[in-house]
Amino acid sequence: MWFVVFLLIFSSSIAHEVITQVKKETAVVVEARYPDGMPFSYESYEVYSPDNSKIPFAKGRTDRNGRIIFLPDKKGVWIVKAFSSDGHGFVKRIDIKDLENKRENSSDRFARIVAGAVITGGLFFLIGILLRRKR
Amino acid sequence: MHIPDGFLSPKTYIPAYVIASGLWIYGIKKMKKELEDKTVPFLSVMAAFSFVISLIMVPIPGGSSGHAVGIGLLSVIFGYWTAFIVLSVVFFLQAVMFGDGGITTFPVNAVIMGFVGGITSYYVYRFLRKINNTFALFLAGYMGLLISAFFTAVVLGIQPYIAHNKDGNPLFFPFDLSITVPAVLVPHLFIGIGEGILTVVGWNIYRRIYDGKD
Repeated sequence: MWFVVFLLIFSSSIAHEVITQVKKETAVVVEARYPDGMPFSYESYEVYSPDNSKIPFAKGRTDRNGRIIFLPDKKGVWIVKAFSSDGHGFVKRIDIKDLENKRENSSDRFARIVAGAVITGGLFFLIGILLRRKR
Repeated sequence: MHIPDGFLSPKTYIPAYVIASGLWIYGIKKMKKELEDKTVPFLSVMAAFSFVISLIMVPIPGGSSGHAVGIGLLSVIFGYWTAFIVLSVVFFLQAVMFGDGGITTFPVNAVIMGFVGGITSYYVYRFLRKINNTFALFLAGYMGLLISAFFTAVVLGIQPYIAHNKDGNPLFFPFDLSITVPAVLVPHLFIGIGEGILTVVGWNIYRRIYDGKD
């Protein structure tokens, strides 16, 4: 009898069972791609919560589609770091109060490449003319 | 090959800013001396071209991607000081406009790709051009990119040793030299071929334009 009582009292503390719960929640999804559209797949990442910038809240590898998925448990600025061993990656600050789906448009990128090329070319043309005048 | 913000410790990028500042000041003086009037239009075109090609990512065998830079071409035509200044401006604009490469890591990218890569291309071409001009141009482009890739891998790979917490966990880039050197160098063995071809083709276009005028 005493043995049964002993087992009942301590059964919860000595058990090794892990209780699981499957449910639907809204998560933050960070999707990472190279500019050519190739997903940043299976690369290391770390997520830091607003209250602890030293110990990662989550760490792992991006999925096949280059996604990092986590569920913030408090408001504030979360930091997501992702690295590939060949030096690609990013450090992104995400304010979960101001969360919206931001994705770079390919036509925006093209426009900025053209603008950058014009600025660079024009700048060195001006530098060249200025240097010529100084002589 | 552009190292983004957050990958390098202040122990790396603060000294890099000091070194790069000295090189930028001296480089502008050298550029002023070396730049010829007739090459100014070609320089502006090359600067714009370098901006564009270093943003075009090409898929590489093994699942990564990379891009040419134009180090070799700029360096053999204008000299390594001008190449360094041009690439520094290009990297700065790319960091500001695209977040491609960082603001903190900007001097590291500029010194490694613009200066170390440029000086390598310049001297490879100078030493080999008497043997065969086309081969020298190809190797100038190839080696300029490969040496830049090597130093990028070294700078990334030393981060876990120089910036870690009490438990030894890296605070910035987490992979050490044994991983970064092969991971960065192997793709650039392929990208270097493109950079080498670009140097040969670009040089021939340049000679055709300016030999025609002379």
